[in-house]
Amino acid sequence: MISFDLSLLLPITLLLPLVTAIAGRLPAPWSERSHLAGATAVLAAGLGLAVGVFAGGPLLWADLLYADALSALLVAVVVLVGWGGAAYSIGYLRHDVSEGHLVAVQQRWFVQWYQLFLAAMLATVLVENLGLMWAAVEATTLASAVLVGFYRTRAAHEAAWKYLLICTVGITFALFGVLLAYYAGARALGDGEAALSWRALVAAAPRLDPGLMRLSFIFVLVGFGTKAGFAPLHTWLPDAHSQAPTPVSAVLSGVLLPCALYAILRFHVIAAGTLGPSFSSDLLLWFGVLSAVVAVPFVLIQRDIKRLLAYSSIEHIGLIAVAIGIGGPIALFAAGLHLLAHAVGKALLFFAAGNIAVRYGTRTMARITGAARVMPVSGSIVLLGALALAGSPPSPLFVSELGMLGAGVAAGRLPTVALLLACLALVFAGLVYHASRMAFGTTSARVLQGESRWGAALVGVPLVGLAVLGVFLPPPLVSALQQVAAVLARASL
Amino acid sequence: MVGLWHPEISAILAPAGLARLIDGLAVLLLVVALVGVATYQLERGVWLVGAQALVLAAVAFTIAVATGALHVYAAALLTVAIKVVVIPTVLLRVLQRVRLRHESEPAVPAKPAMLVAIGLVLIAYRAAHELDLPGAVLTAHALPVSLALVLIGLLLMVGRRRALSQVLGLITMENGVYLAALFATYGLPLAVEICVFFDVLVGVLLMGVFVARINETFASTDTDQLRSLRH
Repeated sequence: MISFDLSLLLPITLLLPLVTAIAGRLPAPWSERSHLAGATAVLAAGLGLAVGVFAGGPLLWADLLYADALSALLVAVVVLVGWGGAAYSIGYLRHDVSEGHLVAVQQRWFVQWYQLFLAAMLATVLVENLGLMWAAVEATTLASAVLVGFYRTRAAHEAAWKYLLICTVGITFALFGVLLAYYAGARALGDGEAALSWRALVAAAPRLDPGLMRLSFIFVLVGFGTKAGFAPLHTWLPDAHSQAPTPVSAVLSGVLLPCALYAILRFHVIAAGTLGPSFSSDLLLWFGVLSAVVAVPFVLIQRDIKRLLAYSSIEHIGLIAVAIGIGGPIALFAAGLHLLAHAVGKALLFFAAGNIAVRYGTRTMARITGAARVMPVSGSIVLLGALALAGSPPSPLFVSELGMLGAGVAAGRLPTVALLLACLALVFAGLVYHASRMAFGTTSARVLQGESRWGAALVGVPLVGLAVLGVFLPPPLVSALQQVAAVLARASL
Repeated sequence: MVGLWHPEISAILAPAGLARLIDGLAVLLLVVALVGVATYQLERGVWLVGAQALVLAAVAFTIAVATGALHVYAAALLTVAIKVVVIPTVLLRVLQRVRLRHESEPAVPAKPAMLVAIGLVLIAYRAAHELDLPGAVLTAHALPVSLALVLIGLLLMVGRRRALSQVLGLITMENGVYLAALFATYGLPLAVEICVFFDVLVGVLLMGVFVARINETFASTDTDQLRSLRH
């Protein structure tokens, strides 16, 4: 048997979306076929990479690409949700073209920008150099801004402009933070690329200047936190996630936000090595709590289904940040589980909501009733998915929220836990209220009934998978999440 | 080589008087940025941003001469090529396409903006003094000017209504951060440098495309019209 150097999967996983992006420019139907084929290839490569890292330890390629457990988790999330979005986008774009929302040639542009977007996110989590990671994060903003403004309506332009500008401002602040870390690293390690290497900086963390690292982390947190949707820097998020085409919204909510958080976490581990765990952990905790709190009223009074899901994403990213801020093996395990489950759950909720919105011709929730009868699978998934997202068992989010709150109590952070419980309860009520009003009831006869098998399968199968995970976590997954926790735990030693 | 804030470097720079030159260039950069605050004609604003980049390139070139580091020469060249030539050309072409060449911001008195800008400069100098960064501060105006540029850029972005003015504010901010990079660490490693420039270039290109599209959809690039999305 030919031995295969697993580290080759690193550049392969990065190159495949780029190849797919080019192949997507072929005339239809080759464009659609190559999109699906390419996305499947990316899925295989990414999952292979993730499994390889979880089974055999971190992988390094050409001193440029590096994947440890944290990267592997994010790669898995990117390729899974990326594949789902690609598969969903085929039918979704066909419908948009036939309805006249888009011109036929735009479908090919969509494939190109979508795959470039995925490639940029993969680059973010796979490059080892912090400066290149910064460049990759900015690249994700650029690629996704085109996708946010894809429909070229007034609202889409407004959303895309706000997104592009606010996030680029944030990323400029983050550049200043990267620069300060580079300066600190150069003083300890000498000039050149070594001073921006994550592994080198983590190893040299105790020797780095504390004042510089403190400043650096603050700028990085504010800068990349803008991209991650932390309140009060989140104002671009509901617009961008609701105006974008549905498959893009799923990726923005489920994948891009965690990627931005990932960038912060790389600095968190370094800063904790220099300053001790509490400085960066506390900052993450407070931003997380603030995000969760700010999201609550907007979830309750929401009228647009996609904005509802967008605000829910802000809350969930806040929860993940809180879990990481609390620290300790249980909370960190919960953070990883939450990240994974939220990505899948939010994606399939967006798909179901997208199906419903397209059928009813509106995103306003008050005008959507009786969805469970009109589209049995998507309609009921809107309700079941909302329940899962809100943390009701059997959802893995219930497990992770229990874990992080329990760890919070054990760490003595009782007021924080009480506040979060209140937020979770209110969001639960809000989500269930909105979802049940949409799912139940009667509907006008003008709305077509029935649902395509493909569309139903795309949202039905992952939901079943999620429900299973909420009850039983297979040992390989447990071990993988523990490895992720171990990477982050270097920050709480 | 760990940046101009290291005491050993003063031995290289002092004889050539280059330190004073760099200080002068930093102040010149600040002046150009302040003139930009007082400028309401979009076309003139683009020229001023190009002038900022030219001064920035001069700073990079001076540092390159002082240290002889090849990657700083490369940084200076990239700055000239991309930020002095390409980006202003792109922005001027966008202005032409949307026929906003002679457009300017809606009539707003210049005095309050200038006062705020000068206030921000004072805050920047104070903050730089407070920051207490390790290593001897060789040129007194390096860090304050870069902080001031960031704040002035933010002011432009928040206070202006034309979409293109917001882009100019963003570029000013980026110039501020880049100036800090030049002073602290002689720029970034070359590979990172190239990626950063590429990102900035593509970013401005995309923003230019968006300005044109916003103009088509809204029949103006007044961002006050981009307010329909509420909660």
